[in-house]
Amino acid sequence: MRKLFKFLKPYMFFTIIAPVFMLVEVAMDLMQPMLMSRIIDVGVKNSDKAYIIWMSILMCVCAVVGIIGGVGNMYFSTKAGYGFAKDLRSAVYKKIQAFSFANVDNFKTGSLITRTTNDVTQIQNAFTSCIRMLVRSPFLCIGGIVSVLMISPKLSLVVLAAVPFLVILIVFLLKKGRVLFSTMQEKLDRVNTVMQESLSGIRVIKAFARSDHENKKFKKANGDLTDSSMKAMRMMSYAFPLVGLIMNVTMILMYLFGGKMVFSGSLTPGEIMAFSNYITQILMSLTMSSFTLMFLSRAGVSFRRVNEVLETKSDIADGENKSLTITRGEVEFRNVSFSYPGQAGEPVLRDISLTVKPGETVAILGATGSGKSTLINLIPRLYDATSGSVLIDGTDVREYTLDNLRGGIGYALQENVLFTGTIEENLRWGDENASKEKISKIADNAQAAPFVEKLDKQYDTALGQRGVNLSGGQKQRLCIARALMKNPKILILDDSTSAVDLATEAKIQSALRSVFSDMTVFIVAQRISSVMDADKILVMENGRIIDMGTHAELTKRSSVYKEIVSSQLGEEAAKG
Amino acid sequence: MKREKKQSGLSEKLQQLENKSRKYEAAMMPGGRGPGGPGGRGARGRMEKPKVKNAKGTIIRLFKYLSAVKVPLILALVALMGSTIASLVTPMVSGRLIDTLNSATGIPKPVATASMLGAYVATGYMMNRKSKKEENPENGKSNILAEGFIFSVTGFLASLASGTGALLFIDAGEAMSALLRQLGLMALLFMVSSLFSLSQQLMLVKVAQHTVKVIREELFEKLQALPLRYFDSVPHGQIMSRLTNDVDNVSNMLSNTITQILSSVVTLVVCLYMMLRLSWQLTLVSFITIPFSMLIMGTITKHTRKYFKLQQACLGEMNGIVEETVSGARVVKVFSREDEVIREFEEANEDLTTAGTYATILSSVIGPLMNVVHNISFALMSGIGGFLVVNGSVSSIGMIQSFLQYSRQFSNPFNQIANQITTIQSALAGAERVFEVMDVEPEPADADNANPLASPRGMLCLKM
Repeated sequence: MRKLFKFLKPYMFFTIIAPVFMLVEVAMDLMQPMLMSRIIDVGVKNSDKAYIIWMSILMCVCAVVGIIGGVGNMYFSTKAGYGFAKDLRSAVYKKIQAFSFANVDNFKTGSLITRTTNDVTQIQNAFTSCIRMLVRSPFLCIGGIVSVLMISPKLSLVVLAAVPFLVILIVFLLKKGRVLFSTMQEKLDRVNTVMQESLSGIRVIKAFARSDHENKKFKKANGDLTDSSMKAMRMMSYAFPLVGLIMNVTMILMYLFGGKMVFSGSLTPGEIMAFSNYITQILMSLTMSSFTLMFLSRAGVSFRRVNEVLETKSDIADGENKSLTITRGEVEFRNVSFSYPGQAGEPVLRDISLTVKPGETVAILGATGSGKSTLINLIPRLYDATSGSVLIDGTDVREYTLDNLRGGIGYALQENVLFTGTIEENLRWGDENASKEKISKIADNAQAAPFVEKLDKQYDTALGQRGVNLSGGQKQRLCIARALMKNPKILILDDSTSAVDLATEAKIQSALRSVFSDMTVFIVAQRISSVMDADKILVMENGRIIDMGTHAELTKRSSVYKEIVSSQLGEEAAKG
Repeated sequence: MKREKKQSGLSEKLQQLENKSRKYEAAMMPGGRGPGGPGGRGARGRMEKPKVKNAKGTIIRLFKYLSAVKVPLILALVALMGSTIASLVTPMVSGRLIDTLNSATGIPKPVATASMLGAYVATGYMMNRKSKKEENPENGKSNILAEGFIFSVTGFLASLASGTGALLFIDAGEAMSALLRQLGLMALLFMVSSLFSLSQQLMLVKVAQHTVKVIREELFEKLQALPLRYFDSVPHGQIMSRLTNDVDNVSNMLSNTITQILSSVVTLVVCLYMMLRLSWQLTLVSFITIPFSMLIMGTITKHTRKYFKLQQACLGEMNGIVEETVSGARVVKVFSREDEVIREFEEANEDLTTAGTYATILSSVIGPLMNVVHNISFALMSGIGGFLVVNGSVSSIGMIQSFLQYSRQFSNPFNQIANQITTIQSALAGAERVFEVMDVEPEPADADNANPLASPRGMLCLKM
């Protein structure tokens, strides 16, 4: 809770001044009935025209002041609300960007989207509602009660008798409301998540003809959301008529007793009129506060959810040494083990020790789940080793700042993610200030230039989400180009030529060798053709390096390697 | 990325927003854009600014969904009628009563008139201000009927009270039984009205929720049938925004706006009829201020509509950014692009804030302005009405009383419709966006006699 008040600080002035304007308006509202009854009791009774005129003028002035109060309140509360929401959203998003992968996995993308947008909006609405209504209602209510007590304590009893009924009703509705709204937000979350997962997995869904299954899943989530929404809305539907009922019964009773009092002369008509106005005021303001409180309870759920994001500490802490950069590109793993956070059982990587000299090309081979990708993820600190250390140029990677560390490492990931924008914009992710020459040169090295230049707009061709309109192989080549744009000391290619044909792959490899000969290269691959010419080939199984050597060496001595070779290139090649 | 904005005056900020609005709204269309780099964002030829192109068509389509919930909808409308009628009967009853009371007294007409008009004005004024204040257009769940109902009851009772004052001069016993009789009638009207009001709300909840559920489901199913090409060209966050934010707008409209509009129309017609019957002169007077109200409303809402839409567009954009950069977090991290994507997010965030703040504040001015106009109109009518009574050209105070009450109710609908216009606009725009997705050409459907592969052997043959 306290954390959220921190965001309010810059808007404190607005937050406080808005209710002040509201109080002005309330004061004017409270005065009107009194003035009116004065007009009747003094002016009309005594046929005092001048008095009537003056009082009417006064009423007009009060009305104007009241309007100023109302508008002022709206202005400041809106500014405060929107400003506060903006800062909150910004903070949440920044936090999300600082998250480690474990953090992101924990929350799920769909939920993070909801928390950044929808939940913050709920909080904003509740906040604005609060500083508009919650101040007004109690004052109107208390003001009204005081006024009726002043006019006639006896008759006020009628009013005061109604108040407890109203309060009980409101409390009951609130309690029920909290539960219902909380459930509703959770169901909304679920719908968002199902949607997001379906959208991002649409290829898989279609390939496996699982559309029916997805539809069923969505129907259930949607049905749940509808049910809980209906329950909540239905409850709110009862609120107003019930309150109206209490109000009207009170009114009737008041006129009954009040009428008698007028007949007997203990009350004037003007006073009864004022009474009726004040009663309306009291009961209405109680009702309105109940609605605001309902908002609050709904926002309470959102508070919690947003707070969860803000209070999560990122697993990966930035390094301290700002001056450290990667100069040579020597990589060493010292007794590195790794398990995913919260994962029981066998670690994904076990006691890996490995030294890679600058400029070497290291290939990593192994079955799915053997730990290949995990191993290379440790180099740019996408994850941190659970024990042991990873060193670059002799220094533990944790000591570099993340910017410097990642700045010296180029990474073409397994999922070829390109972002919406032009090809050139995507390539500039590697180097914001690159010249067009550099862009085409690098694209050439990555063998992407041939197809890009055939496109209508060449480098200005716009890509859709995740880089559509391109084939898998084309995307991969662009990803490699993007990584090369950084001019990195260390290059990591995670299965990045799997969709590229052998001839093109060979050209890429030769470009890497000639143009980027100083670069340390890690290649994770499934194809022997990708790894054959590496300086070192690592064979991994179950999180361990079971063999290491050149292609020739391994073909001679490793049965696992021989099997892979023969399954891909045939028996002959396996004979070495 | 260029820092386009300086913290300069409001009009400059709005101008810049205007220039960017095309970018945001272009993103809503398939083939639109998501986050990108500097410069040419989504400038794929000139995109038309999506307005509500075919309001009629959209409304008709929405109604088709409503036909599935015919029964509760009709029940709701019946209850609505009942409730409106109950609240509209009140002024007539009160008018008659005042007449009866007054004719039994010897109070000079002007005094009685003044006191009753005073009572009426004060009460009506109070009620009007209160009901306006409590309506929160963004979350508007104001129940026009409950308002009109409470208002007319209070108005009646207040004038009754002042009429009761007149009873000081007559036999208390007679007055008391008259009072009791009238109160009994009112109590009955209350009950009836409350019941109608409640059932109408319940039915409408069902209508709205069910319709929205169906729309969401249909949208999702249609999505599943779309070709992959579509998913690659529209940012996922934008698609999701349509399913949640846009459908929400439609839901709001269905549960609130329909009631408001329908009851507004009914009230308008009945009130007008009553008013004309009572006094055509006064009806003319009341028309004087209507053009002013409409002018004010029209100008302001046209302006705010633009910015509310922009707010929604920015929201969609932010949705898109979050989705893309979180699901692509790996790439963002290895290229250390956190700062850049945060900057993009901030830009959309800032734009949303500017547009939303401006639109909301501007909308809030409508209420007070309308109030002023109405109160002027009211004062005019009270004055002229009183004059006419004293003059003798209008036969009874009671008629003035009724007239004033009807004219009060006559002006309400204009307000209500005004408040709803924004909701209607965004709901229709939202519905259009939803229908846009539904209308995309799906993958070819199975042929009628399509052969389910019962036991595939795996032989594949491509023929050119």
